Amino acid sequence: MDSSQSGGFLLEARDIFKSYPTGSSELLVLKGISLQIQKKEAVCLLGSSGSGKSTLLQILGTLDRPTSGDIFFRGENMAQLSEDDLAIFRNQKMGFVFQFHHLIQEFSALENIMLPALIAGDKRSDVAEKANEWLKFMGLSDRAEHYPSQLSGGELQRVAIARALIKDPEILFADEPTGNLDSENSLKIQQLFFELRQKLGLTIVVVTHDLQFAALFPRVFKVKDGRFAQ
Amino acid sequence: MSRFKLSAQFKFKVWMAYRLLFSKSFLQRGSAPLAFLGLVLGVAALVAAMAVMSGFEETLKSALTDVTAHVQVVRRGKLVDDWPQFSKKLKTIEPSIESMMRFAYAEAVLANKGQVSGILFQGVDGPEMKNVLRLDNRVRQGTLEIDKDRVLIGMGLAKRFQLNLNDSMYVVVPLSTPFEKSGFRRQAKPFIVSGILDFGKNDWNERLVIGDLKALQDLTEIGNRYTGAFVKLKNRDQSQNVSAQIAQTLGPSFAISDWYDVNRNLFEAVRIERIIIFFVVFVIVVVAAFNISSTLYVFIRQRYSDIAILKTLGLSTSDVRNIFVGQGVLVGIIGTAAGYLLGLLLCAGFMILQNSFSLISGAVYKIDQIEVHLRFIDLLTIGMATTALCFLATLTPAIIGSRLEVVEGLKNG
Repeated sequence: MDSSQSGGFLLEARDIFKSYPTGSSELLVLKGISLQIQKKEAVCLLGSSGSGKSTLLQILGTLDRPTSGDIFFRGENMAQLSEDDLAIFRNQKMGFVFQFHHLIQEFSALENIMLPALIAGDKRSDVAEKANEWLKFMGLSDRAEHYPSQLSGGELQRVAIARALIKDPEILFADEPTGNLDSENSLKIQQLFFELRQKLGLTIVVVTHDLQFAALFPRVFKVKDGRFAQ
Repeated sequence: MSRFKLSAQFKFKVWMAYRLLFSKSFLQRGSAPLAFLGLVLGVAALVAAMAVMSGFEETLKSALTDVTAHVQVVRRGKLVDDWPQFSKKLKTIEPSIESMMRFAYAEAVLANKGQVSGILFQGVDGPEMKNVLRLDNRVRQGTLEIDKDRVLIGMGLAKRFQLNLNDSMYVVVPLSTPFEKSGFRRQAKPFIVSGILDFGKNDWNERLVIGDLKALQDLTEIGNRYTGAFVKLKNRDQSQNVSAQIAQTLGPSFAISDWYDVNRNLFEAVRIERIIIFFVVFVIVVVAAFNISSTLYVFIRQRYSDIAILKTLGLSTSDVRNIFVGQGVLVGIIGTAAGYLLGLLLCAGFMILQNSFSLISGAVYKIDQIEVHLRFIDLLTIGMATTALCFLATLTPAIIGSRLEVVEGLKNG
């Protein structure tokens, strides 16, 4: 723990580089990105396709490791944690929503929402109760036993958001959460994010290429060619 | 707290393995049901093969102990008349003796309606017979009553001589005598068939006659003397120990044998054959396990997106591996259970076939009809070996799947 160095930020990225080997050469995706995120902040990473914004989100969310540079969560360097420790860490502190809902097809909406808490080993009856509360909040009470194939795009994404939040994370990462939705559903999901932030005091990091969505955020980082553009 | 958490996480993994196993994309379509069926067939074949082998051994064992008790004690040399003292002595040597009786053997000739054939006349104590031998289930016709005129015969003999219940037949024995020119004279006596039995062993059915000891003693003019004693123990499986104990105490003037000694070669052959057959038939299970391995491999390849999201949500690499391995173990357990059931059906089929056609040559195997016998140890070995193999078969695909990078898996979404 070296919180003195991280200046009390919830999440801090320092000089992040990420490259992928492509045959004989290397593809540099992130070229020295640094950012600090305070608790309860809503941050948008805006950029076009291939700009590196999704890679940055994955690195911030400990789903991928940077080639160089460090990520600190409450001053703790994530590089020092093993893969298994990172898995537990994500389970307890972070929530994720993706462009595609990534719900497990064989599980009902309720079971999908319960997954993170079950992974943590929480008591099943408590988890089911909490998951039902989330379904109710999302207006999906009558969809509890429905399977992903029986739900609409907007409903799927709301189930995915409920799943991301059942463990009361400190920070919610969303990668193009509205990218796969029509404009009406898109708007609903956008509103939902801010409603949740208000209600839960969540820190939100959203990746999008949608300028209208980005405009709702107090802090927007434009990602271009692996760097923050002005 | 930590213990509770462990158990909840364990339950979660079993639940995941179970749900993924019975998912539409796995067991209910594609090659998985075929791979599973292969496993079930392998287990069933093993169960049936083991049941038939054990059944052969058990049938032979039962025949031997039913007709000649667990241990036979025979005095070498001259016959003597000392039963009260000798029986007391045996009892003091071995307290685990449940009951015993004396017997006498005579090689004789059966003559009926112009036919003659060599037989073995076994004379036993009529009242004691039911305590030492177990012939109740072996009666095919008639009763077990023996006395000075009535005897029990094997069903092969009955068939050959066309003897029915209450038919009369002659038993002829040669007696040595210095007064005859030839050195022997013949002694004959008519007996009535009171029971026709299946003695369980082919040669016994063909030539064994069980009668009253007194009748045999009179016929052979040996007075109150006898050949030896049939000993029944409280526990059949102790026969070898007990016979060794008796042999040691009584010394070389007695020949002690138990049911195992008499057919040692056959029992040894069955024991070795059982091990060989186990491994040969187990190859089917091994092939089935390879099928399951490849099926699971394909399944895991199709599941990269799910693995990635589960890891995103906090499942560790080892958790993912354990879930897929758990799936393999579940397949093993369910396959074993289903294999047991199918194996039982195969055994039933074998019994029907055996009753319709003579599958076993009595001349070669000593018995021509066997019961199938499921031994707990066989079932346990089959179950454990199958489950362990399924565990090993799923290990490689499970490890490969668990090592998937989250970012790679999410791309496939």
